[in-house]
Amino acid sequence: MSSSMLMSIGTQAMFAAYAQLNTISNNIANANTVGYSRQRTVQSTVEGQYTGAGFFGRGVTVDTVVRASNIFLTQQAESARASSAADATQRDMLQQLELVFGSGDAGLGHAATAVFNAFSDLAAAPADLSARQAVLARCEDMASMCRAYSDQIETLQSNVYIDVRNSVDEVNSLASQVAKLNERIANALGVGHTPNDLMDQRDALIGQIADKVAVTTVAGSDGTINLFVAGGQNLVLGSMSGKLVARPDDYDSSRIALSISMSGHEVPLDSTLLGGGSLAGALRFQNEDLVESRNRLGQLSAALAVSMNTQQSHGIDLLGNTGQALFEYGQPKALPAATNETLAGAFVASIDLAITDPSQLQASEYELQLDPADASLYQVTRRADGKVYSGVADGASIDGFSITLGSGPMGALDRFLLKPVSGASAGMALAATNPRAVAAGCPVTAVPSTANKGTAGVGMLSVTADPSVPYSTLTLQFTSATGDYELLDAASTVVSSGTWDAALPISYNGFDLKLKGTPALGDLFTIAPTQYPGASNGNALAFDLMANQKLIEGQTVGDAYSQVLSGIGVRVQGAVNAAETSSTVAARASEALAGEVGVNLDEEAAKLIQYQQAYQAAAKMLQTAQTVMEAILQMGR
Amino acid sequence: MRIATASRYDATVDSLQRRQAALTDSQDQMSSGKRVNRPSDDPTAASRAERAHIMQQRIEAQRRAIEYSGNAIRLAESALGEAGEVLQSARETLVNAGNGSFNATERDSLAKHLKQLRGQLLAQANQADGNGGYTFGGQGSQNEPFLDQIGGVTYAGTGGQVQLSPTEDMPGAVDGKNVWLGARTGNGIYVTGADPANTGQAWIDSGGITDPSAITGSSYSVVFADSGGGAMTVTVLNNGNPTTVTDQPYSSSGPITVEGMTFRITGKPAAGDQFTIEPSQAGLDPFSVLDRAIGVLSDPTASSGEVSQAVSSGLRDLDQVMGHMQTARSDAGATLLRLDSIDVREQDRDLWAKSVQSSAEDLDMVAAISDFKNKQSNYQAALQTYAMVQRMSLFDYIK
Repeated sequence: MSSSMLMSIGTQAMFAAYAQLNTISNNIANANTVGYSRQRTVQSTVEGQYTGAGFFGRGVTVDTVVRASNIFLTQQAESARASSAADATQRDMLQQLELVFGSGDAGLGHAATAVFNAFSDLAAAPADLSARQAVLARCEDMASMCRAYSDQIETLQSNVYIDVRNSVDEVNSLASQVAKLNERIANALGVGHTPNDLMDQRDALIGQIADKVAVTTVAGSDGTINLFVAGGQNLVLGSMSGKLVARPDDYDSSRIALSISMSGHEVPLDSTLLGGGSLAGALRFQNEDLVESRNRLGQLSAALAVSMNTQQSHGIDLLGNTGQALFEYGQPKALPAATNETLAGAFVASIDLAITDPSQLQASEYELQLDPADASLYQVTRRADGKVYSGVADGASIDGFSITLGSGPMGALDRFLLKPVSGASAGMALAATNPRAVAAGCPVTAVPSTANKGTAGVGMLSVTADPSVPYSTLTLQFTSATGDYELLDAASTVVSSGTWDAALPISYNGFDLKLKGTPALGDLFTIAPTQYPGASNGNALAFDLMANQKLIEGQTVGDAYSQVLSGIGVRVQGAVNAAETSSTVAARASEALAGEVGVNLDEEAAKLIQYQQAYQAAAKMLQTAQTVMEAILQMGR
Repeated sequence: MRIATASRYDATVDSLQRRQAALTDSQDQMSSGKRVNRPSDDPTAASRAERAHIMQQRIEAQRRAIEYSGNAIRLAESALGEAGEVLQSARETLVNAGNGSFNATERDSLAKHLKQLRGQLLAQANQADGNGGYTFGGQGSQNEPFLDQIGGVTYAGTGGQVQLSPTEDMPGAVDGKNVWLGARTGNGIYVTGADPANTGQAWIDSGGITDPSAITGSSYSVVFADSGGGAMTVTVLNNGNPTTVTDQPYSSSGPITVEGMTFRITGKPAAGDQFTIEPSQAGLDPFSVLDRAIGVLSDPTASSGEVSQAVSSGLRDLDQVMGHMQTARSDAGATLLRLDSIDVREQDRDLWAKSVQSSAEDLDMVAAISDFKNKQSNYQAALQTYAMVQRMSLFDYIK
């Protein structure tokens, strides 16, 4: 046993304590550094020296510095972070969307009701040009509100496009950094020590990727980490990284979709499999919330525009002419898939759509293909609820619109996206500009004979369909005391007969006559083409009545719009709740991880004292060794 | 369990911010007075409030239509009232003209007075409603609806009543054709008359109704026959067919009742004299009544018999016209009452809709204030504990 042993042990102890203090200081220094994992100096006893008197310890040695880590908690925190980012993104975007749909005076329901109210006012003064002007002004308000809503929705759509493209660029840059770090970490591990800071850095990068898109991490044996997205597509494989590609949707180039490319091989990603991350949230918003809102708004706009144009065509304007369209609106469209058969750069098949019954229109898009069971028919799938219409013949109508083959033939693999309503509101505009063109008048007028003995008067006379024969003077004659009636033409030929029922109108040649009171035997009504169009208000009343009619999928305009409001409200509420929950989950997960790998200053303070004392003790040892040495040297004198 | 110092700071700051946000939300709600500022605050309430809002908006339009209809009918009602006074004045003039001592000049001045009254009536019938239409315009006319033409006043519009609401009976004008030109001749059910070839000295009154359900609406003739000894018998034929009154003895002014009608024949009829009973026709108008009276009164050669006849038939017809217009006036009054009751109903609905909207989206202040206090003390507690806990550190004790 040499006397220098004491000195050596003391030096080692001092070094070890110093190394510990060094690590502790580093921990304290990085206590607030994001992504920093607490480090620990690993020290061990040097193997003892055998002597006749047994094994004598030879001191302490510093092995390495390790970082605290927990793979399970890290993965959990990453996935919670991804869900939270997705939910928060969707919530933020939905809150923007919610602002599009005004309520009360600023709402579309109000604007549409104002149109009907203007017609009610016009009914009171049909000859008043300013009342007609007011009708046009309210119509313009409504049309421009539809357009404004639509514009804001499209602005949100283009924001999604830009956001997704930026996020994709970010993910690609982060993924390539992870790949580079993988390489450096593998090299460092080869030397035998863990490169703690590089690993922290890599974890932080993976966390940042998880903010954008959820990733699955699989550790390689060489210390590398492989990243997978969308249910198993490679994003990072060792030192190689793939690239996310933002591309236009197959059907609709204004929408964005993702694919991934690795070594020149591009695979489309199913956005529903993305799982989490702001990209997933943005795509979910684009593919569900925006589509739904656009379709709801389009359904309202198309139903209003078409039914009001139809009503207008049933009336006569101030000059006695048949009413022309009040509104223009975005026509229904069938978009071919980018993969459809082409000939000389143009698609072979095209599909034409036309609205046939506005009240049946649904707020949805549809996918169309040939019916697998019979290639002469179509199979149409409603996207909103997945309902499948099989065996739809060419020219037949479903959900209020007809489907006709424009050019053909259609291939078995051809697909079309049918958008009967989604573009309607973007194209809403006032078609009529002259107040005289408002068709307030009814083309026919019913007049009770002054000799009538019953109490019946004309309740309402309105045109509900185009006339099958030109209007002419007719006489309605009650032929019994129980309400049997005959309609006679000018030549006294009976053209229609029946029994009057207070609840039902008397209908002939497209008009409906409702009586108030009760007719008596022999009572006469003359139904003749309107003589003074300027004074007739029958069609204005029919417009007025539209406010109470179920114009939109079994609902009045007001009810339909209030449902749009509550629909978006429910979506936002759901998204807010989801974001709240997932952010709490993410906070818990990151707290748990931080608890495991983060720095606790009290702990470090305690260790500081511990190793300060260890250092002092080691220094004392050296002093003792020196004293011993000096004693030996004194002996030699 | 270890707690990372930095994450504890973050977590506490985060939770403080959350409490602060909740407090701000409460404050926003209280300052706006609304619980639902965006649909997502309470989707069901937002939709209910929206429907109530639209309902109020519709009621507003409905009440405007009621007001318009009320104005039009009130105008018609007062015009009819004035017309009644004019007709009353015409009636007095006509009664005056029955004075047998008047000479042709005096009758002519009465005729001139009647002409003026007729002019007033026509002006009232053509009264404008101030909205480019006419009070008695019915379902529309190009210009004034009543045209004074040779042969009498005609209606140059579309009869009937224009309606201002598709769901309620709310007329926007009065059926002028019916009111002014639609009175019924005779007593309103039938018209009595004497055969011009009668040789006796008897006249028939305008008759009355004793049993409305027995009225047939047929044409009758009343035929007199001599039963011998100067006693007359009376037979009533319904379109030539015998009725219950066959060969009944005649007494002057004795009521003759047949098939729901009772009339009296006064005087001395001759055998073979006939009286007619025809169903009443619509189409009697004050202008033609006055025209006929004016025609006779301004004729200096008219005999006193012609004058008496003109006066008596003129009075009968005037009474009929006045009765008809009075009915129209009370109809207008009933319409006004109905409009009032519709308006009251609409006001109630409006109140109801307002309360629905308010209960859906307005804030319950009491609950809100207590909620705010609650959140405030939560926030204060969080701030205090934060300050206390974060101050503690082992480093404070290392000296």
